[in-house]
Amino acid sequence: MKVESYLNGIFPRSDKALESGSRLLKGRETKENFHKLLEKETKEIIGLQQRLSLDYLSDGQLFWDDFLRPIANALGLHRQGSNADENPVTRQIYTNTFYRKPFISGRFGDVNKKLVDTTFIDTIKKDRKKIILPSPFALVYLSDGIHRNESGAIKDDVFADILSDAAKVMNNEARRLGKESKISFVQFNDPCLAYAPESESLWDNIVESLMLASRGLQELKVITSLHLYNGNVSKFLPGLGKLPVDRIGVDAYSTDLKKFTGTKFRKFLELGVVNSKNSLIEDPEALAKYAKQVSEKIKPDGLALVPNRPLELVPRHIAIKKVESMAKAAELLRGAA
Amino acid sequence: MSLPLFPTQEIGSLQKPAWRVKGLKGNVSKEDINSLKTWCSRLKINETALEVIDIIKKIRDEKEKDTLELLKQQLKEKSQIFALRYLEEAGLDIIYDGEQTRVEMYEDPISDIEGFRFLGLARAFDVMKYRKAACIARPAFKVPYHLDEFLFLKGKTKRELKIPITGAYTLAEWSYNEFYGKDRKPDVFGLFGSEKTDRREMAVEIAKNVIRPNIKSLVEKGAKWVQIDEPAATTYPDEVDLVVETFNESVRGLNVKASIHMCFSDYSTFFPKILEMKNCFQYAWEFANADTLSLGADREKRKGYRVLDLFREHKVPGTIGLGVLNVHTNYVEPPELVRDRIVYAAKVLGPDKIYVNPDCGLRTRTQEIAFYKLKNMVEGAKLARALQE
Repeated sequence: MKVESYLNGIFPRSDKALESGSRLLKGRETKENFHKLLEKETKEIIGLQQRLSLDYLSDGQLFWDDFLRPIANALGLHRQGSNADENPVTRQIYTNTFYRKPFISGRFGDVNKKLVDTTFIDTIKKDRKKIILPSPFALVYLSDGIHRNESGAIKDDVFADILSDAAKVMNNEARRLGKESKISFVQFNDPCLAYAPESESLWDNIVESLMLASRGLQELKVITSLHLYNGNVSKFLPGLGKLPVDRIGVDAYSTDLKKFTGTKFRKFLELGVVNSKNSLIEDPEALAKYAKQVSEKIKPDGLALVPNRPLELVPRHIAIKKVESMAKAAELLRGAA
Repeated sequence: MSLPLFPTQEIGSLQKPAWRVKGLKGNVSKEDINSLKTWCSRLKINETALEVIDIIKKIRDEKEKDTLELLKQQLKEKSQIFALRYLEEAGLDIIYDGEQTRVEMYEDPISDIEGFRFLGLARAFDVMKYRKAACIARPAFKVPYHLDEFLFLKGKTKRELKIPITGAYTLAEWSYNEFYGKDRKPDVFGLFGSEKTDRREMAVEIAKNVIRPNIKSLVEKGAKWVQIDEPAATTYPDEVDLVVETFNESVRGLNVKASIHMCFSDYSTFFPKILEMKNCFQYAWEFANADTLSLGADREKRKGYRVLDLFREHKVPGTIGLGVLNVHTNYVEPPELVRDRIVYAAKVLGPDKIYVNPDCGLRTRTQEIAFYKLKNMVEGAKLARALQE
């Protein structure tokens, strides 16, 4: 069985960069200096992944103020220009992180615009470039707007239309990245599908959105994955194993993997075993042993060791050690296979 | 203490003045001193400005460590007085010291609890950050960490004092865990649920062994009202029962008015568990953050306040601390907007249930902006009051 390891989202900024950002907020730092630091650290993150021979490399998304922000900005979902009406700061549940809640005021239309900056992705070697986007469901579900009624409940028909639009937008971007930046891997991150009470009733729409988002990517030799975190996704079995993406990522700390056994889960499983919510550095041998046991029970098509959710929740020096441990575990696992 | 209808209150932190932050290192600028003098004149405490200048000079020149620490403590106390007068001058009915002696709501208490080790910074959002620690041993009470600040403030104001104290659940949720379950050897599939088990144990022990003894020490010295801050309360919707349990444990058997502050959360997850909170005097929540800026007291204009319906539906006892100021913008809410937010809430829940406050601590705003916001909040409460008469 093929064993891989890679990162899957926003990497932490260093203490120095966080202090710099804090000074920027108070007017005691220039944006230029702050950005220079982020550029330097982005290069270091790419270097780290190269040094550890991770299978796919991403840019760490250090410039992303939250996991929706660049997308929401590009789509005009943030009201800007006045301090008074910036979008509300909203907790990303399961964490002490927040995002500015986008507001969707109408259909997206045929949006075909550049959503993410590929300055650093373009420096990565061909065949190993990985990009991470929010899943269409996450973008729409975590936004406010015309798809919700005044009490916040989802209006099913409008939601379905907007979700479909979001999927097309993501697909346009993924295909552009496949053609122009030659990316090999697009991962859709979804922090809310696991806990959203509406996920099951909207399942068909979610499947369709992933189908739209992945359309044409196989032809471009771009691998697709859906990484799910913040909750137990075993409740979506066996449908989970049939989603129209190549790989499924799960959080081993909040997902009951026992339920995967006997479901004929025949996809590449991204096993989130590196805990981004805790500072303990995982022991590579224990990780490898655990992953081996899981793979023997579930028998997926392939296995990738990944963080259970983006590593932004731990200080950078801890995150680096965790990635080193993850890479070592993958190496041990490959040796044992 | 007699309070008017729609009493106004602060929620917690205020930005620390530059003369207090830089003064601790003895290196204030001329601009900082000018600002100090201007503000002290405005707050009618000119003598405080002179005392502060004198203390900062001494800090700059002092070499002896113990004396230096004493001077720094004196400077912090001046900052407490400054914040007290600042909130009085803004016209608030219920006040504290803007947490002037505390580093930050997580770092400060954790520094005074046995069993934690700081590891570095983590980002909350945008460029906002906080220092995070790991629990490395069973949390234990070391010192009553808010007692000195309370004893200093007691008797220095005629307004009611409300002491903010970070809650057990938030301290547990915001900490890493390197202690609970450390000897567990998970077999295959054994990771599932382990985090939750460990967090539950940690939170309950912090409530029992740290927060309750702290509150008890404050009550014994005359504290009448503690506000338990639980911004992490709805982090995990299925752990709301743990927030309730730790709140109840923290104030169990203590003769004190206890309230809870939460913010930037999906409050719907808190119902109906909220009904199991024992003797919670007030739920101070953030609302303005998600509201419109349009005037009017109807549902369409007051979309940020719709969660109040749940309070009415569930007949939640206790009062509401109604967040009427968005702490993340420099926009100064006009009194009329504050008025309409209060009027709307009063229509939903009844006027006697409503206290008025900013969404959260105003530490992210400058002294100037925060002051105008608070003044307008007080003015807005007056306008709302007038409509009820």
